This record gives sequence, structure tokens and C-alpha cells, in this order.
Amino acid sequence: MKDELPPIDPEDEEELQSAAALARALDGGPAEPALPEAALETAALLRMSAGAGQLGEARAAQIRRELIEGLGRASRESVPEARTAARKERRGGFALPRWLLVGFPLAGAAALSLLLLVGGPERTARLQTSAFESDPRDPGAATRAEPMQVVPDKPDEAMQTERGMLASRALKDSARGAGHDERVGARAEDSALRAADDDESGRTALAARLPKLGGAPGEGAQAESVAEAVRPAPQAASPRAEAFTADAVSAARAGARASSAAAANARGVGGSPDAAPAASLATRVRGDGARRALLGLGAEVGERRAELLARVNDTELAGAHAELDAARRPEQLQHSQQTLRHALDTLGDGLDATDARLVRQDVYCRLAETALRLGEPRAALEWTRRGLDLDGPPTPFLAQLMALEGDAWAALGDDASAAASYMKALRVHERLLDESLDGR
Amino acid sequence: VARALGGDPQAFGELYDAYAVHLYRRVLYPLLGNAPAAEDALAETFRVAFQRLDNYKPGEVSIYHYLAAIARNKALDMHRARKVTGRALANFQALLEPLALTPDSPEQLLEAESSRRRLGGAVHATLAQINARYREAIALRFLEDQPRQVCAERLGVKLATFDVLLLRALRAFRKRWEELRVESPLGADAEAP
Repeated sequence: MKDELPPIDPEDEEELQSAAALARALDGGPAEPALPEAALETAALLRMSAGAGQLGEARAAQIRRELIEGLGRASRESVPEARTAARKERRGGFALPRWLLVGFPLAGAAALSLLLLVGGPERTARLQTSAFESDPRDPGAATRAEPMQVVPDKPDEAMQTERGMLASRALKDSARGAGHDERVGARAEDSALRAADDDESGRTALAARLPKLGGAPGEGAQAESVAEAVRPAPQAASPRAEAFTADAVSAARAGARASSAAAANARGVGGSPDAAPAASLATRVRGDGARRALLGLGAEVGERRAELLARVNDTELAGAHAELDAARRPEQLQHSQQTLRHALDTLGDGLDATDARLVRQDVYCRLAETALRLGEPRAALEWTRRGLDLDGPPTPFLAQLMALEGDAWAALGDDASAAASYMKALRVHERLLDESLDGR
Repeated sequence: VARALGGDPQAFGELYDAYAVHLYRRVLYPLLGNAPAAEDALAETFRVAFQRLDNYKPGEVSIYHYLAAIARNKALDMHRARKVTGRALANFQALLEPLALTPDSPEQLLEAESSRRRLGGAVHATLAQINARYREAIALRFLEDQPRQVCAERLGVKLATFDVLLLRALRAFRKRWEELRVESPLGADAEAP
């Protein structure tokens, strides 16, 4: 379909203005009222396709230099000052005069004293309460994004984490090197060996895999080698490498995605004998990687459950959860299943609707989990279905239901459905993270 | 991460080396469509990340996701402040999404080359289906990155006429782009030649 090409009409003032505003914006000018935003977006897309959107090496180095200099000045010991400086910078360099820092509290105290005299103690108490509800120390607290609270790790964990990060980056580089650039592969090998330096079994495992990345001839074979390289790393290294972080897991996912794409390509070009096994391997790896990326979810669910149980204050329900926590043998698991179901049936009517949904979803999680432990994946699927039917906004319980659904599919041997469920869970989990970072 | 958590700016520099390019290309540029703004947002992302690094939970989320979430917030802040700053920003992530090039997922780090080819292929396929004059205007201005004056001369029109021609070309391109994405949502329209 070809577009018609109408003549340029010099009388169409609006179009002329829009075109001129666009021309100036494309040359780095400001956003004028007449700027056609859709056209500007399209231009950005076209520029990206032509190579814009790449951060040049010189510019990247300059930003790095400035960043490190700035961070060096505001070292970790003076992070509060750095924050203040950053806020000041965001406000365009505007700062209150120092005398106001003293003046405002004095003025506030004077006003409060006056109110105390005029309104008596009762009114004053009300005023103080409402003032503290809005947090006078930090007026922006309600809107500012604060990431999650966390983790002064033990040194050993920190070391493992760092090693995991390095190894995962190395694996990513290796996989990339397999497809595109031998130098990257070589660097990756070096990094991987450094990463595993004090971990003999990890080093052996990584070193054994890296040569496979030297450039496989066919797409399918490449897919397989990428998947092979990424898949066994978390399991094959020593128990210390179990501490591979979510970043290492991302590497597994990356490898899986790459292998999946490559396998699809191989199928598309018709005929690599490696395509089918590569596709199957890719699916398994993808599911495995995604599941590992959800490792932190269990802990998060546990925390939310504790909060929820404290809030709803249902002793039978709390007892049922505790019983299941302690259950080990099949008969204990079966008994705690019964207890949980009974607690669910007798859930109090006075519960807030949101809490009631969360409690139910959590219980369905636990029932599904127990069914899986008892080797009943179909029952687990049914429990997750009931929990997912309750729907609601993203919560750790919802993500956990999806992850357990994936476990059930995996136990039934349906790798594709398992991977799909895990990916759904990951999306919810990532959205929760975004919300957490947004301070919502 | 552990060294950066301990307050070592050089260690933080290594994090920058590992992720800055990806954050810029996959998160910030598609959200801002403006190179200087994306560079500013990148620097601000790392500054904020450094200040809040002790809030990062290594076991729960990858450092890439952590940085990407901060970068997205910075980009949104810039859009909110647009009336004040007057910066011409363009969020074209929605145009990329049908190609499955959504920029916020680390598993796509491996696919940089293939996603670049996929985008190039989709652009060429769309250009092939719009008026030749529009195609030429777009190719000169964006693919060859020629100044407006040169484009106008090559097309044999006045500068103001070229501006209008380019605006229309962009509109025609976008219309066809969206139609093709509906017809073929995963951008099966081939890779770049």
C-alpha cells in the first residue's frame, strides 16, 4: 500500500508550525507547544534503528569519570550529604538560606505556644498528632521512592554474591562470545576463572564448559552449547556456588532465551538436525532459570504471611500454618492439609475483603505446596487454580501461586507450561519490585 | 557489589562498566528518545543507586533489575519535569514492544545483536511500503543522518518544504508501522539486509 503524496500547502499554518517545531527539536531544540510528539517518537525510533541509542565510548568514559569523582567526594560515610546534594541538584540548585533552618523551627514553636494558650491542651494534642502523621522531618517521604529495606550481609555471603555476579557476567559474556566475538569469549573465560578463583570445583565446572563456546557451526548447535554452558553452572559448582545470585539466574534465563531464539531460527531455516533437541533443551533451561530467579520469593511470602497472620489474628489459622511448617512425614503433611482446609472453611466473616483474599491465596499456596511434597501435582494444579481465580492486584502470594503452578506443570512433565507459569510469576515479582522502588 | 556496598567508588565503577551501556540503550534511550537527556538520566541513575546501594537485596533481584528500575524512575521524573525543563523527550517504547524489544529484561542482554537486526529489518520493511518520496526523506534525515539543508537540496525543495515533507513522512511511516505490527505482532517482517 503506497501513500498518496499531497502537495505542500503554504496556507496550512498549523502544519508549517508543527514541521518547524519538529525540525528544531530534532536538532536539539526545546519542546515547543506545536511539537508533534508522535512524529518525534517515530523519529527517535528511526534514529535508534540507525545506531542512535548507543552510548559512545568517550561519552561513557566521561560520565564514569564524573560519577566516580563525585562519589569519591561524597564517600559512603557521607551518604546523607550526598543525598542532600542530589536533592538540591534536583531542585535546580535552589537552597534555603541558613537562617531559615533556625527561623522555621523557632517560628513553629512560637505558633504552637500561641495555640496552646488560645486553644488549650486538647486542641494542641490534635494538632501535634496531625502534624506527625504528615512527618514533619521529611515532607517528601510520602512520594519519594525508597527501595526495599535490606541486608547487611555476612562477609562470606557478600563474597559469594560478588563471585556469583562475576561468574554470571562471565557466563553472559561467554554466551555472547559464542555467537559474535571470540575476544569477548576470551575475556569471559578470564573473568570466570577469576570469579571462581578460591572455589576449586566452581573453577573446574566453569573451565570445563567455556571451551564449548568457541563458535559452534550451526544455529542449533550454537543454541545447545549456549544452553549447556549456562544450565549446569548453578548446580555443578560447589555448595558455595549455590549462593549464585539472581544475577546468575538471569544469565541462565538469558542463555535460555538465546538458545530458544537460536533453536527457533534453526527450525526456520529448516533443517538443522540439532534444532529439535536444542528447542527442547531451551524450554527446560528456560523453566529452570526462571524458577531459580524466583528463589527469593519464598522468603518474601513468609514475611508477608507473618504480617498477615498478625493482622487477622486467627489462632486456628496460625496454628494450621505452624503445624505445616513443622510437618515432615507424609502423614503429618496430610494431617496439616486437613487442618489448613478446615481453617479455610471456618475463616471469620469479619475479615476485611482484601485480607480475606490474601489469606485464601496464601492457604491455597500452602495446599499446593503440600500436594507437591506429597507427589500430587494434579491436586497442586487445582489448588493453584483456585488461588489464581481469586485474582487481585500483584502480591507475593499471587506470584507464588504462579510459581507453584509452574512446579506442578514441571512435575507433570509439561516443560512449556511450566516455563510459561514461571515467566508469569517473574513478571508479577518484577512488578512488585518496581512498586517497592517507587515507594508504593 | 560487596565492595561497592563497602563504599568503594572504584568497585561501583565496575558496576557502571558492566551495565551502563545496556541501561542506556535498552531502558533510557527508548524512554527518552533524546541522547543528552538519556546521558543525564544515566549519570543520575548511578548516583542514586550508589546512595541507596545498601537497600539492594542481592538474593532477591539482579543488580540489573535494580538499576533498571531506578533508571525508569529517572526517565519518568524527566518526563514529569518536561514543562519546566523544556526538553524535547520522546518515549517510543510502545513502538518497540511489538517487536519484543522491551528493554527491561536482562535475559535480552544476549540478544543485542539480533534485536538490532530485528529493528532494522522492521524499519526497512515499513519503509518499503510508504511513498518513495517519504522514504527518501526519512532515509536521508535519519538513516544517513544528513543535515536538513542537505536533505532539502538532495530532494530539490526549500528548507521549510522539506520540514513539512519530513513530518508527513514520519506520520505515514508510523501509520504503516502500527498497521504492520497488528498484522505481524512479532515483527516477522524479516531482518535487515
